[in-house]
Amino acid sequence: MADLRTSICGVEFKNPVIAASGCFGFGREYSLYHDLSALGGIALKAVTLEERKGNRPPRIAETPSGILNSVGLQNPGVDTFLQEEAGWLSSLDTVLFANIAGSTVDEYCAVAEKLKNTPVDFLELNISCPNVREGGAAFGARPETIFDVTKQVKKHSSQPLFVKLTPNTIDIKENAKAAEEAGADGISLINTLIGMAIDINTRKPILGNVIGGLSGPAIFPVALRMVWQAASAVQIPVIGMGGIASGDDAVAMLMAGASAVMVGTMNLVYPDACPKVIAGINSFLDRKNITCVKDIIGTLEVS
Amino acid sequence: MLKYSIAKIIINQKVAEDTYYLQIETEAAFGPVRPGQFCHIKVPGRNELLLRRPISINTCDRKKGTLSFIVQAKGAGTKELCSLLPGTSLDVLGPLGRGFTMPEGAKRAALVGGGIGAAPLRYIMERWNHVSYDSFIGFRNASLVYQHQEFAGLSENLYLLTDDGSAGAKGFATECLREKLIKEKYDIIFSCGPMPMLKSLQRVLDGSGIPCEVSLEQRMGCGIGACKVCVCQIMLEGQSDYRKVCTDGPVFELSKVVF
Repeated sequence: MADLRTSICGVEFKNPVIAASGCFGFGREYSLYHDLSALGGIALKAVTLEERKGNRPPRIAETPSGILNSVGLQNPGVDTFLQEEAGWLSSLDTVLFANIAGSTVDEYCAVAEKLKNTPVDFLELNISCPNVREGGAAFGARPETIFDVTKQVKKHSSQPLFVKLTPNTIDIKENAKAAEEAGADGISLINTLIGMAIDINTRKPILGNVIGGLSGPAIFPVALRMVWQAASAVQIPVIGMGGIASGDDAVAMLMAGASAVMVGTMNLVYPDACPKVIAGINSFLDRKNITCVKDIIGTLEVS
Repeated sequence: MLKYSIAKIIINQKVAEDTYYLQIETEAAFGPVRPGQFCHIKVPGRNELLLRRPISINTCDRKKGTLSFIVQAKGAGTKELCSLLPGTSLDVLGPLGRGFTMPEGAKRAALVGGGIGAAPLRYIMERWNHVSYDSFIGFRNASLVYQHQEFAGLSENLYLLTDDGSAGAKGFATECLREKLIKEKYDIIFSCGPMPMLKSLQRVLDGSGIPCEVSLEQRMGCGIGACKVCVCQIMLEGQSDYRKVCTDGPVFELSKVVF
């Protein structure tokens, strides 16, 4: 058994595997299938200031080795989240990321304020949701807006702030740097790639929202490239995600420079996807006689 | 902790055009099954078909550890499932979802099924066999009719209908029910089928005061309530809201469904 512990911003993680936001709810459903305290962390489903109903269905379409989704940030609002979920979540022995979203900079700041002095260990700034008209990816596509929203939210947060970046952009390195310069404590990437699917029999889009975010193993090579580029551009820690389906995928992300990984879509297929990835990382390390997972982070050799 | 089980296909039999009866045997015992529940099945060895397929339970035998499904070979995933040989291993999550509820004291029930949607209605009659059933089952044409014998044997009256009259009477299940409702009384109606059929059933039953539960379908993700993709619109306290087909349903009160 290798030492899987890692630390980010001074917070100790049992292992580098975190359930990704949006694919894991607030954790309850998965607690029926495995012990959530065995996870490195959980990134909770995005919360906004007020309740959001989400987009009209259908909200999911299967594509080769992936899915498109257009949930549209359905959530009960930050107050209900804190009333109904915070107590239970604090009983878990794992690191909690609150993913926060909003339509305006003020809304992001207000959500961050409400999460002060709660069991949440990290904030993850969601400026990369492709499924809402206002906010979301509208903030995340350009370095200037990333800088601005990050700087403002940082003033209102008591926890370390991670900025979740969209891949739907021109230069991921510039965006990563903008987050760092604005005071982000780390970045996480990638959110979904914008895509669409058409039912050729009805000549209609499959998703009620017409377009949606592509995730799953199909996007892993894109994610790996962007994580590597972003990690090379900044000094702050990077959490890598996008299509991770196995311990080997996670190991590749860590080698590319991620300090930890998030597993998203595969939870929808296998409720115990996260424990499987943890076991897979461990078995890779054992096979290679590597004692600590920290020893493989950012060790990609590019000659 | 819940486990998803590895199951083995025991029977895979064509029962109608593009329609297959799959019976599986699970390795570990599964919990009590309610009519209307479903299993979330992974297409084996085909990771490009990423998601599980939600398939409603047609019948089951807990003592033998078998679950049965009627699968329509429609898309790539269901075509693959329908081509699997007995002995093939399947990764199955379930039984999942909130099934049908038989009201206490109910004596007579009507079942309204359309096409592949008739499948989950069979287990209602097997599970609650103290109730007498009139079944109204419709198909597009004779080539799509399955389990005719089973429905005939379990129902007090079976009304088989096809759009073109190639089997049973010509017409729609909902229209046939409308005619019977003039004389017949039912304590409850259960239904599953295509959305246009359910919508028309809602009109037929409007103002009748007969409770009706329907099983809905929606494109689904996790199947366990976490991902919030499989929503449908339901009226709650006078307002329409989204509810998850996987865990709030798949069975809902018909009068509250917004089409």
